[in-house]
Amino acid sequence: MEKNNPLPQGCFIEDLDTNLSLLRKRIVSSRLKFKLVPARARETGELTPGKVVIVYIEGTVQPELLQSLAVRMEALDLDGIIGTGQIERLTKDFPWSPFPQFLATKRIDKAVTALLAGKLLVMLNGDPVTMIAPATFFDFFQEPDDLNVNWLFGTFIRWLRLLAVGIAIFLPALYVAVMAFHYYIIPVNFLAVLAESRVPVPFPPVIEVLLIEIVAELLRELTSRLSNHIGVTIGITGGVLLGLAAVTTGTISGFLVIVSMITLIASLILPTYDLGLSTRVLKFVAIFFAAVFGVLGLVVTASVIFAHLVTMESLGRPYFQPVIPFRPASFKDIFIKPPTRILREVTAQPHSPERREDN
Amino acid sequence: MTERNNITSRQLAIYILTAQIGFGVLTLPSTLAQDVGHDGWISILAAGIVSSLAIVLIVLLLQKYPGKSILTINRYLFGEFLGKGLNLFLVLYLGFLTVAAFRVFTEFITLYTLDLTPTFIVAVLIAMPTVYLVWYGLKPLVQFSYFIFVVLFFIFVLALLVANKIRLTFLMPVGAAGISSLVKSTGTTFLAYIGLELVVFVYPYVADKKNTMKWALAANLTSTAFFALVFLATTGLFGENLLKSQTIPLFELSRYYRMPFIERTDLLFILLWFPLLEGTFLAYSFAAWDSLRRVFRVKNKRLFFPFFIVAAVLLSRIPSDLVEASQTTDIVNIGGITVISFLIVCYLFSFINRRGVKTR
Repeated sequence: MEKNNPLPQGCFIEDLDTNLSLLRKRIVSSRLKFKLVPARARETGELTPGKVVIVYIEGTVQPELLQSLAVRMEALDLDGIIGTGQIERLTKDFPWSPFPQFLATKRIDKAVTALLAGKLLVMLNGDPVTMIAPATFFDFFQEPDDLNVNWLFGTFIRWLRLLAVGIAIFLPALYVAVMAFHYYIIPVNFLAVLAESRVPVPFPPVIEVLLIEIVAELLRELTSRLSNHIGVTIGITGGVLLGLAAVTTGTISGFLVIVSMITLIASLILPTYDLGLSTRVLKFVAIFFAAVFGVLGLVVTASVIFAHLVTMESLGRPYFQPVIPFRPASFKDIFIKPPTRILREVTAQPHSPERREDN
Repeated sequence: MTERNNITSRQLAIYILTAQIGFGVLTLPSTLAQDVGHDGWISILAAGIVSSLAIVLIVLLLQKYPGKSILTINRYLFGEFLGKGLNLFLVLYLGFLTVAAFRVFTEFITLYTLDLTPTFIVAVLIAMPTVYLVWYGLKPLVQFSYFIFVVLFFIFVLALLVANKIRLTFLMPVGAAGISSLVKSTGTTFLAYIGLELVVFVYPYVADKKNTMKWALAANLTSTAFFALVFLATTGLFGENLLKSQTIPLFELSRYYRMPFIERTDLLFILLWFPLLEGTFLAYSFAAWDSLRRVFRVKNKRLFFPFFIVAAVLLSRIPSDLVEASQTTDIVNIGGITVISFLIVCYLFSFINRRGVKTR
């Protein structure tokens, strides 16, 4: 999921001891601590004993975060534990939320960046995927590579990802709402083109959109199930041929193919897989409400999602910070990604207890 | 769950601001144009000063009883029996406010987006964000209301874009309406400022109570400035005579500016205004729900919350049409002024009956 550039990357492997020494190699300090959970003699998982370790840098992490995570991990009582994703699902604050609340990664540099920023890692023996906690919504838009490239580009790519998540959730729904209810917001000269592409289509917009979105989802699943070479080939031929055939036979309007493909691309550029999954599900919710209530349905969906995001917490920390509650210092870091000299004030503070009264 | 209600005084300012800006400002310019013509901004400023004074007195009252809401203060001041009766009235007022706001909200949304859909269905739909946030408490609710800054920014930009079309002659001569009608219209303008009295219900949740005065006043002054801006922009653009015939001048303002490519700016405006209306409704319904819960000592939140929501949705259907629904806002205005006067009386009375007052 995370191989996207020519920049340095190292990955964790299945063996926990190797992973821990990989971390030790990067962070040469006695402050790097490993805490075995549960502390009692019993290992996590009755039938599949696997060591779980919480990693943190002493003095950088806030003690109450560590405490809160440790308590939750102690409470875990399972027959078997297969992956860190399972731990996430059992320890997160909002179990019903569609959004990921901890950040999963295989990459060492990402894990190290998180540790330096005062976060905790959860590692499980046998699983190369490491869990970073607590996470905020905006963590899912960041990659350690952003620190390696020119600041201007780092800023640009972050904004692009934020835009992408908006497109991935709302674009098909917007199409449905506009086509079914509010076609008058489209300028006349463009409306003519649009109407022409929809003339041969027998379905109402929502059926049309559902058809193509489900096919797009199928294609996407297919490429992740097949091996790389076949996957790419099938993906391209399948996508191109299907789209072409659908338009020429008049099953789907040409404009919708554009909309749907933009949506697909947008949902794929997100650096984390988990958030991509959330957008895929929420997309269908938005389509449903847009089909029933038009633009109003869209704006209600957006409001509920926004309400949910500001309500959510990850390990007791607000999920939507630093936007709400607003923290100018870290806001700068996330949206502008200034040159490293300026950034250092933010990330390299030892022991930065953020002001509690705003939470 | 309780710490989800804790807010800072800065967040209290956003709470008050959202409660004030939302409904009142939609019809304010045209009501004012009907009453006092182009001199409405004087009424706005006058009402702003009066409401600021009210806030000062109310916060002074609250600061005499650290950490107590009006529901407790009433029982100190008027004794157990009379205090409880008064609390009942306050809760009734809040409930009425919630229901009336909800109805106007529904009508507005239905009118401009889905005029063929049954209003009841729309009501259920738009109540959804509120249900979610009121359940989770005051803090997430205020965090949702941060959206108001986006709207304020948008209106400000809109005013700038049309600024060169504004004719100052529309605003001249100053004071043509005469003192007596200006004083009278200050009363009706006060409707837009309703929402400041909610501070007495959420005060116990404010963490840094010593800054309450500063931020509550800041919120009120921001509202005043915003109302004045909207009035000046719409009057300067349309003139008082055209303004009188418009239902929602702010809406016409967004329609007035023609953006390149996008045909209907007004639809975008509704979409932008929706979270704000939702925020106002949220602010009222939280105050209503929370006070209801405390007055009746509701233990089982899970059981009674659905009842509260269903009651709010059903009660909001009582006015049979738009005319009756907009008449309820007059009652809201009178009720609001009564409650605010009552709070000021409470403040004065607290000098006589000193029970529960913190002595330094």
